[in-house]
Amino acid sequence: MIALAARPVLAPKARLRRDPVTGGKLLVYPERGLALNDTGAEILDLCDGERCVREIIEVLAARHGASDALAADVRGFLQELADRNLLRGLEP
Amino acid sequence: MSAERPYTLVAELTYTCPLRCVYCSNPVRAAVGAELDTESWRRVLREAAALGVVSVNLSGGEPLLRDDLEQLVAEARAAELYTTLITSGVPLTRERLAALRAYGLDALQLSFQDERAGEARRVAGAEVLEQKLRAAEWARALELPLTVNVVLHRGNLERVPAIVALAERLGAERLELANTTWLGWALENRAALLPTRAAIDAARVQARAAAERLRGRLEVLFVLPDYHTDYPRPCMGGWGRTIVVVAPDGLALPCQQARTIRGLEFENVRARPLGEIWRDSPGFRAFRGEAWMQEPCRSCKRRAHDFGGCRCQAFHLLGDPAATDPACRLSPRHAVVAAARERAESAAADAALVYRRAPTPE
Repeated sequence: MIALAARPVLAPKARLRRDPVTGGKLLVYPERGLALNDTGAEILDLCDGERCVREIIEVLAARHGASDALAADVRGFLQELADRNLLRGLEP
Repeated sequence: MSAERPYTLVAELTYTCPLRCVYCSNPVRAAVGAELDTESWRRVLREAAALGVVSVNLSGGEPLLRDDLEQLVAEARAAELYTTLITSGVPLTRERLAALRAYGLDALQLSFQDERAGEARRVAGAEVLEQKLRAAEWARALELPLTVNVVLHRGNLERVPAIVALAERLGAERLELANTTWLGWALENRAALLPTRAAIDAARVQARAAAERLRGRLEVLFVLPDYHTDYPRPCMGGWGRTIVVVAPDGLALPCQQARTIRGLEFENVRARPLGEIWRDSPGFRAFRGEAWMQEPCRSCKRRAHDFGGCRCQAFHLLGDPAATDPACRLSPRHAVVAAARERAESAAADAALVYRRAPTPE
């Protein structure tokens, strides 16, 4: 699981863009794309390479209320992107 | 069934290629008109973006043979498309790759036949390996994300560990180990290239181990071979569902082989906007949704996953493009595939190969 001290940022090969058809957010990268739900888009907006994962969780908890599920969801989502080699800044 | 939006445009810019790969996915027999000009391609890119396309694969043939490639990359970037160049790398220079990068190219997919020069030459019909290694090196120097694509067959399946090592050494982000699909030139060469089950099983285990070991660094993808998987592959993610292909002469297609299915009517982007063709043309509507399906597909619970398999395979092996893909073990005519699979178990090691040529009219 992704470290709480990691400071993730999107890899240069990936691009976050608006989907003109749905109005939602799309993460596009070589030969693939990923439609993001609102939570996913919100998490990625916070991944600036400065904030660590712990701080990202804190920001989201302040907005939506803290819970164990929130922390697990954020780390799960980021790990999924990391597995696809879409994040940098993973070494704390 | 209404048309969903395509996410990906495969822009086949030309059928011309300096290579003669024996499994080329270009059509073997087709009446092909003149290539689209630059302005037409630029319009197609804009129309694709308006339709909802977010990624464009610039492919061929060899797309580097188009001297307007830079202009097309710039147009794709202006339309916010994620642009991948799918190339042999053979006509590439360092300067041209840098220029394409500057015009907005997002990623490079480089094909490799084999990590051994002699085998690569035997499959491609040309001396290619050294130049490909150089091209990969230039991509790395330009920090251009690199996908290495290798078509697997009986001649190179046992090389999977060495191919993985090559992709690692080249600094690739993604390795596609794509088992041959038996259409186009691959079908012409099926007897020489179809592997044994033991070879596939061994390669699959090796690929899975590599994917595990390299997770987060190099994505290793092993595309299963439908002749050996009991069920058909969800070809193109469904007919006219997420991918639109435009052929060099402007024919808009659901897949690279679709124009070889006799009796279907496809339309040209010269005559009609891409969005209208996607939504309304008879060729796109023919196998969209499920109304066209016969049994056993019609009542099969897998139909929403595999869409009945590959229409081109049904046509080329059975003569009926609406039949269940014979790769499916539930197909009443699965014996056609099973027999080819059986023959591969005892095939001679070095059967003669038929090299790809430009498509010829039927």
